[in-house]
Amino acid sequence: MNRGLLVLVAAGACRTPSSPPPSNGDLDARPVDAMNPPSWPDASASPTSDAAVVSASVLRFAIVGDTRPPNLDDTAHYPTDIITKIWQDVAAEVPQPAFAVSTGDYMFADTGHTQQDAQLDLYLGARQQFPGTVYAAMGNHECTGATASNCGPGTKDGVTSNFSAFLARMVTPLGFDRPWYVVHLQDPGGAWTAKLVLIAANAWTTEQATWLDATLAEPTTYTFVVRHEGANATTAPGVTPSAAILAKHPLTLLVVGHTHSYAHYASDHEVIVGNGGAPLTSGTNYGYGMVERRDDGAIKFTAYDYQSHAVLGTWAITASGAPTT
Amino acid sequence: MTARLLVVAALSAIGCAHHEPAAGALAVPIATRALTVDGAQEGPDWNQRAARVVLAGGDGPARPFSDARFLRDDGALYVGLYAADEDVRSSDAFDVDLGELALRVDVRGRVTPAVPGVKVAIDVDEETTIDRPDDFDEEWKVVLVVPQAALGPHDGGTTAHVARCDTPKDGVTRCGAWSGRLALE
Repeated sequence: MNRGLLVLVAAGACRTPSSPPPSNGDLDARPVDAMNPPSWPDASASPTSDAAVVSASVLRFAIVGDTRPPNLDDTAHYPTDIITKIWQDVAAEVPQPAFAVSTGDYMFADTGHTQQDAQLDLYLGARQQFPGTVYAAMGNHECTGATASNCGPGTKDGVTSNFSAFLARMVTPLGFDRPWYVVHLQDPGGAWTAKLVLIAANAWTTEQATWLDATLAEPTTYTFVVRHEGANATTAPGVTPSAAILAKHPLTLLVVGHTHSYAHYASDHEVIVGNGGAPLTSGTNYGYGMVERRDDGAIKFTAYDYQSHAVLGTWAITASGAPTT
Repeated sequence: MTARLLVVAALSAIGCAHHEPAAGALAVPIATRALTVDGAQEGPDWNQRAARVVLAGGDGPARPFSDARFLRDDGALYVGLYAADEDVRSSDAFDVDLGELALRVDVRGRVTPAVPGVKVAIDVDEETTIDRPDDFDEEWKVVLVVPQAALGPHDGGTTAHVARCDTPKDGVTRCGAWSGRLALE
């Protein structure tokens, strides 16, 4: 990892983690039986959905999404080889990105059975190939599996075993206690600022809605939003309400998964990166995406084939999300 | 949550072929318990015990992805089929040849031609919209139950061929297939 590019700095009202974000190895070393069941803090306590500011001299990160076997509890056919190669590819990017985001769905597990941790073991084992921090979005399979499911304390589906495992192993180690959170990034020279906003559309609450509106109101040069479901997956509880909030604020790019493919919808400012090992639904191969700020301030996106490193698609947008050359 | 459709095929007579077991045949395990024929292929028998093949297309696994799993009991061969599919159409189907038994199973659960004793169950996610190209679908699954008697005298083995073509949103039709021999003893 290019540690020299990644420095944590305490920032105003933002929560400062008690320790720096752990490496992937730290995440995996965390014993499962030591994890507390997820519950929100007391109402009087400050929710921990805001990260400290990450100071980065370059804005460059990878996107990986949707990794699950074909069938429920089908751990024997988890796509371990594919996701391992994808994370190896990300690690081999030059320069190596300091961090990555994942768009959700890391398991296909029955909430009444016990395959959650076995599948997360495989995912996180593969993710160790990349030494940088990975900011993980929550997918519908981290709730009940249904796109319409809604998880978390006080929601209709409550705290499922899938939700608990995801939160404990992929979110809590980052210093957050909600599956929705924001990471602030800034150029040390002051040339730009950015925020990476992770929405949990399958853990949608009024608290998240209020947080999202306030978070998006914070001015930054770039706003990247990560949400598992795309704009047309409106049965997910948080898609339509979060879209309404997003429409009120500047948006550079909405990064989604859910569909097991790669696609770009410029008019919606939306890119689908869901080809991370889950059964492919189109003709596009498995792969990942890379986001990079160019010297002219534009954001360049490139999607890569995980085997050949062939470019599956590339395009550029301005900070406002408008297409550019 | 899934909506499941169980269709029992009507009766019809189909010729069967005689096949010798061959080295390299895919051994079809006996299920350890009665299988629920609901299309979903859930449980340890389907996930851990079944013989599984991934359909190939071009130079690797077919895209869109498909796989086939095989189990048996004393009387029947169970074929589990998985189809990843971003745009499910009512014309989507698998072609399944077992010996000289050539079946076509579509996403509505129709089996053609109808064969005595053949059952099929389809598992389609409740969020899947058939013949709605304006949204994204995900997958559909099939469990096909074929009486071993319908395979004819097979001496413990039979040829098998599973194929599927699909046209994703890019309009390009792509096909995948697997051919081999199944060992049934």
